[in-house]
Amino acid sequence: MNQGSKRMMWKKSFKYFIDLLMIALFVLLMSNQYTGQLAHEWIGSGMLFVVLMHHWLNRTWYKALSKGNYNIIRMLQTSIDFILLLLIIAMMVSGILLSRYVFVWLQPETGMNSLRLIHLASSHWTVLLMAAHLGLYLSVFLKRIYRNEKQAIRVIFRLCGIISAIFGLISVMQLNFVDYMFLQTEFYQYSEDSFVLYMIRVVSILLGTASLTHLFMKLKRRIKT
Amino acid sequence: MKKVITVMIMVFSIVTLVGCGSATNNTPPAESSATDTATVQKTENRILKDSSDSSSENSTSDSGSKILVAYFSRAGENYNVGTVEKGNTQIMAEMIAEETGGTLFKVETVTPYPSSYDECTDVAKQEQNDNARPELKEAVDDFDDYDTIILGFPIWWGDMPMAMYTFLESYDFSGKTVLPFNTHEGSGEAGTTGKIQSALPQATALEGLAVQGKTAQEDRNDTMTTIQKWLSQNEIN
Repeated sequence: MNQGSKRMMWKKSFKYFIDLLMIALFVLLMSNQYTGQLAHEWIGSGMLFVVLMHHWLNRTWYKALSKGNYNIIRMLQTSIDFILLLLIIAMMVSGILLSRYVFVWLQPETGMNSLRLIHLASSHWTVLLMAAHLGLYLSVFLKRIYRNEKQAIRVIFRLCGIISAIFGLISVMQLNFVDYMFLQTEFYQYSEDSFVLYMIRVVSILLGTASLTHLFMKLKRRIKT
Repeated sequence: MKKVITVMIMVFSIVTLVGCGSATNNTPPAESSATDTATVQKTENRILKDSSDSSSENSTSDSGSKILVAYFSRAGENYNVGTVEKGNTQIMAEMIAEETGGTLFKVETVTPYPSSYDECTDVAKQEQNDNARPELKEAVDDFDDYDTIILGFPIWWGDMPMAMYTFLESYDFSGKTVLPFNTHEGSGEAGTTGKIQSALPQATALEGLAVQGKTAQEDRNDTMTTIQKWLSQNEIN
């Protein structure tokens, strides 16, 4: 392998590492009932950094926007990407202005309750849209894996997809996601779950939504994975 | 260019739809009935009269310990209950005083909090970020005579109102038993028991009671039953 493709390999691996880190940090952020406010703010700050890094590593996306054909699939992909971007900005800005520790020096004098509502609603939308975003690009990642690994892994991944889709849907209902998304409830209701169970729920929702989105893409595109 | 505009229109329409969907329908329910308020008002006057009398009048519980029920509460416009005459926490405090025979003490700040909900949340957030200690109006008479302090408060921005921190720092709690209770909208005791124990290392903090604000305000029977159970679990009564 020459130097050029070795560097490419590291770049790709680093990209995937950042993506994985984003998911892990987001799961921890959703668990702020268990981590407490201070940890939540520091993890959120870390998340800001990781999100910026993700954008830098994938900066060709911005250039590619004006190029090429836009079929329905690409329009859907791009729309979700944009909405996700807006949501992340909403989360970051509201989080920073609401901050009690890390960004306390930035406190605005008014509008705190509205900021809190934005943060509550957008966090739940972000869970689903981040997962959809993952699902829409999953085929790229899966193709690489399936090419290099034994085919049994395809069965395992599919099984994970089905299980997480089922448990994810159950968790969306049990955690009253829709209530927060549409602000039918204006305050986060603490869960009775243990920390571990709660994280499993969030991971299932993420993976389940990603799997369903990926499945949808496959059916639309008839991609063979 | 056309494609970009199409995408942007799609994005804006989706965002607008979401925005319309999330319009809150949080219209406050009808205020508590006049007769309820009048009856509770009478009880409140009787209890307050007792507590403002000299210390020789202070009541003790059956077990012989002297109990203080100190609470912070804010009426006015509140979440989920509308505009109320009496705060959710105060309702609980009065029930607890009734059950235990303890002395009621309302923790009040010199500067009152806005009766508008949003304005109050702004003030409360500012105080929390500043780690403020708002000045309190009155002091408890003969605080040292009490051995059990039942401490009540609402959860404001995931913590006790800063006025409670002023209260905790105003007295010597050494050797006393502290029993917290609070109202909340989803965050339970929000880690306040730990914070109270840290603020009062010389006191013993017992297992607290957290009740949803709306339940305290509108379901008095349920709340009373919960309080009675909690008090007997902590061997008070």
